[in-house]
Amino acid sequence: MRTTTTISSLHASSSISVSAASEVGMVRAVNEDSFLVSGPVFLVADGMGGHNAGDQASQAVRTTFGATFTANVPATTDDVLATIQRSNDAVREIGSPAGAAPSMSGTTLAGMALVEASDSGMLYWMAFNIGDSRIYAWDGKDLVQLSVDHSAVQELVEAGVITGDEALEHPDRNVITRAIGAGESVDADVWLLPAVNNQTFVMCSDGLTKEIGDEQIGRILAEYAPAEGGPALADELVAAALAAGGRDNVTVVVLESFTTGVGNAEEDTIERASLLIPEHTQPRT
Amino acid sequence: MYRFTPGPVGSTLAVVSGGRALLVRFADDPATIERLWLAVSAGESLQSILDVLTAQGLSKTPAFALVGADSDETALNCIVRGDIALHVGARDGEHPIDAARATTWVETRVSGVQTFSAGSVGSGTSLPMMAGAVWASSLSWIAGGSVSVAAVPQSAPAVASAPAPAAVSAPIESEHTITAQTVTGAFLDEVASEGAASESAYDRLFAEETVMRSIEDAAVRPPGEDEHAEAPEPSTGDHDGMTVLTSDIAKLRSGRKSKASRPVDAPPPAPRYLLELSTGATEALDGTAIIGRAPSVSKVSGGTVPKLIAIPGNQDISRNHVQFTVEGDTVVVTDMQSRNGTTIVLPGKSPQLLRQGEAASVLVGTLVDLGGGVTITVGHE
Repeated sequence: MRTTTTISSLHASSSISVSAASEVGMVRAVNEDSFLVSGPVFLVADGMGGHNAGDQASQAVRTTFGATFTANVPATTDDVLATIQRSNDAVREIGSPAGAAPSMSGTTLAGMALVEASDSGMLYWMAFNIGDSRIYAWDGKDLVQLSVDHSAVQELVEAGVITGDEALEHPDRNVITRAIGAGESVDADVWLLPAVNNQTFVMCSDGLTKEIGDEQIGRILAEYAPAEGGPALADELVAAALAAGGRDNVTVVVLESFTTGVGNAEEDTIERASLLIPEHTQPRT
Repeated sequence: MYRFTPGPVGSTLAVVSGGRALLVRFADDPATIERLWLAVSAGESLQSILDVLTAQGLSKTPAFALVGADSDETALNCIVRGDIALHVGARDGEHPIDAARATTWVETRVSGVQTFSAGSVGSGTSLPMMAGAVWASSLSWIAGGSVSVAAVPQSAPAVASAPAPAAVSAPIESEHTITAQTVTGAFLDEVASEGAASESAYDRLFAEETVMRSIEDAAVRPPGEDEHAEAPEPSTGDHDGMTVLTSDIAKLRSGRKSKASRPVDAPPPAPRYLLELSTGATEALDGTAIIGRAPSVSKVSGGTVPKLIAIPGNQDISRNHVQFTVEGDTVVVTDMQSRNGTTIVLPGKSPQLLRQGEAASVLVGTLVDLGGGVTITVGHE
C-alpha cells in the first residue's frame, strides 16, 4: 500500500510518502508481524509467542498506537514514550486460550514518529526501537542502520567476540534481549533527528534483514524506479526477501519525507540533514 | 565490609556505597561533596565519578583513590591520583598502587581482591561503615565481612545487611542463569517445549523463530522482590541448551547493570532552572537540554528524551553545541565536542573556555557564550 500525507506544525511542514508490505513468508503458517502507517506514526512490530499470542501482541501495539494519535498532527516525544508503555501493558494483558498452557507473548517495535518541539515548532523525526526489528536511513547513496538491535548477537558483536557476518550464523541469532511485553515496563532506545529536506527511512522486521543483507537493501533502494501501477519500494524489498527464502514473516515500511519550514528551511542551504554526515561547522575566523 | 579511620574536617573525604568507594583530598565544599555522594550512591560508572572529580580541570583535580567492583564481582577497577596510595590485597598477592609520579592518574584492575586500603593507615580506631560520606584519614575494605563488593549498587544496603559470607567467591554465572530463568520462566519453558517438539535443528535452519530472554534482571535480587511466583524453582537449572544465557552475554550485561539500575526517582531539584537565550526565548530546564544549530539525539534510553533547542542558521554554532543538565541541585554545562568551543562566565568571574567535550557545574547567573553572538543565561523561577 502507498499513502501520501502532509503534516504541519506552526513553523514547518512535512510531506510524507509511505509504502508498506507484509508477507507470511514461505515457511511460517501465521504472519505475526504488524505494521502501522498512519501519520504521524509509522511502525513495524514482530510478535512472538505460542498459541497465536505473537500476532496478538504485535496487533496490540498497532492498535494502541493507532488509537492514540490524531491523524496528520505532529506527535510529542512524551506522547510516544507513554504510548510505548501503554503498548507494553496491552501486550501483557493478552491471555491464553482456556485449556492451553500459560503463555507469554511479546513483540518487537521499530518506529518513527514526526514530533514537534514544544516551543519552537520545529519538526523532528523520532525513531524508537525495542528488539531486533530495524530502522535504516537512506540518503540516496548510502544505507545506514540507525537502530541498534537488542539481541544477544548484537552484544557479542559490540564486545568484539564475533563479527557481523558470524552473527548471521550464530546459534543465538534469534535471541532478543528486550521486547514489548517481557517486563512490567519497557525501555526504548530513542533518536531525534531534525526533519529537513528529503529523508528516507526503512523500517523492517528481521525477516527482511536475515534474508537479504544491507548491501542488497541499498541496491534495491538505489535502483528503484517508481512506475504508475508498478510495485512500491516496500513491495520490492519484501519480494526480494521471499525470493531469498522467506523463512520468516517479512514486513517493510518505507517512509520518504520532504520538510520545509522557517527554522528547518534555513538549515537546508547549509547541509543535508541528519546525524549521518559529519559536522560542517565553519571555523571561527 | 568497609572501615574508616576518622580524620579532621577538610582533610580527606571517604565516600562509600555498594561497590563504589572513594577517598579524596579536598577542602570542605558541600556542593562537590553532594555531587560525589550522588554519583557514588547511584552506583554510577567510574567515568561518571571521574567527571565530578575532574570538573574543574586537570590541574585542580584533587588526589584521590577510586575503586569500583567489576562485573565479574571479584575484580576491582582502581584509579589513583596524587599522593593517596592504594593497597590492594588479592589472592595472588599484594598490589600497591602508587600514582605519585603520574601527571594524570594510574588506572589498574585487580582480580581476586580480598582487601584494600587507601590513605594513611596509622593510629586511630577504624570504624565500620556501610555507606556514606565521612572525613577520614583512611578507608579500607575486607572480603568476608558482610559487604560484597559485588553488590548491585541499588540494592546495596539490603545485601550489605544480610549475612552473605561466600558472596565474593560464589559461582556468579550460574546465579545469573537461574535468575534470568526465574524472571521469564513461563515464557522460556514454553519456548523450550516447542523446541523439543519440533526438531530444533530444523527450526534453526528453516523457521526463524525469535525468542526473548530477559537478562535485564540477571542480578542479585533481594528476596521477596521476585513477583513471578509461578515461575519454576531456580534449582531446575539449565535443563536444555536453549534456556541458558551464554556466559559472555551475562558478563556483558552485568557490566552495564550499574548504569541500567540507576535510580530514576532522584529527588527533584529545589529551584526550577530556566535557560534565557539571547534570541529572546526562555526555556525551562528540567532534565537535559541540548542546544545547537540543528540539535539531535542519538540513542538514549531510560524513558526520558533530552529537550532540543535549535538556533538555526548560525554557522558559528555546531549542530549539537552545548548540553545543560540538572544534576541534584546544580546545573552542569557540557560542551558537546563543538567546533569552536563554549565560553562560560560565572557571576563575578572571568570568562572560562570549555574545550571540546569539557564539562563544568555552574551557578544561577552564569552566562554561556556559544559564539556567533548567541548567549544563554542560567536563571531560575
